[in-house]
Amino acid sequence: MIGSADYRRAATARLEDARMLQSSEHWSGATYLAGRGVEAMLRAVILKRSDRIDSGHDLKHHLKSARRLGMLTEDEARGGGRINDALNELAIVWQNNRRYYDDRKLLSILKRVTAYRRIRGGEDDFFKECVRRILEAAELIISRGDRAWIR
Amino acid sequence: MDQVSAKVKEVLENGLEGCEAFLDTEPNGRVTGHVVAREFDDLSYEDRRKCIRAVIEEAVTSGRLTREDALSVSTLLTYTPDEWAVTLPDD
Repeated sequence: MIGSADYRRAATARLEDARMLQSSEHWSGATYLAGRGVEAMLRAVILKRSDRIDSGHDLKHHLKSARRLGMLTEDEARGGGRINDALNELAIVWQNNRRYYDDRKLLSILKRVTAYRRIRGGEDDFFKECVRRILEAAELIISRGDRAWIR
Repeated sequence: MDQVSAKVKEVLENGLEGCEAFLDTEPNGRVTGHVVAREFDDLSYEDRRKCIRAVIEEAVTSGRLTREDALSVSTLLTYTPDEWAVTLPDD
């Protein structure tokens, strides 16, 4: 049985894994594990205050549950703030089936994201900046989740 | 708090401006926790990590931490004072 504390530890561990993969330019692995970390932290927050959790992998759905359980400020619960931007960004680029994606397939997804269209440079620069933004978004959500978890 | 996390806490709190560190050592010996610092204001998470790494590296160089201590430092989540003091509904 995986409990709230297990999910919490997994969230920070997957974030650390993602940062290591980012530093060695393993882009698809870094992106996948960042999303996994976010999912784990949302599950941790939900299970800390509720005994029921949806078994799916939809980040927005999990955040909706976490919102009801006090993870967001009042303004954020109305859709404002960086954390909603971060989640929207992740929800576009991350799905559970991304574990089967290599860098080429991930690139085709990233190139369709409106917010990334203004990134300049070659393919390496594009990947580097996209993954940097994705991991920053993931760390924002995981950090807030952990703050909510320990209070 | 064990000896290693106490040493890392002292290093971070002395090395980062307006810093308070809340650290634990996991059963596997890894130091984890939260670092709140004014120095993180306006910095990305990536840059906050660089600040932490620089402070720890300097402590190894000056002999306040061993290389083994430094390698035991794992995931430290970082917060500005405002992020740490966020008001959540149940507070």
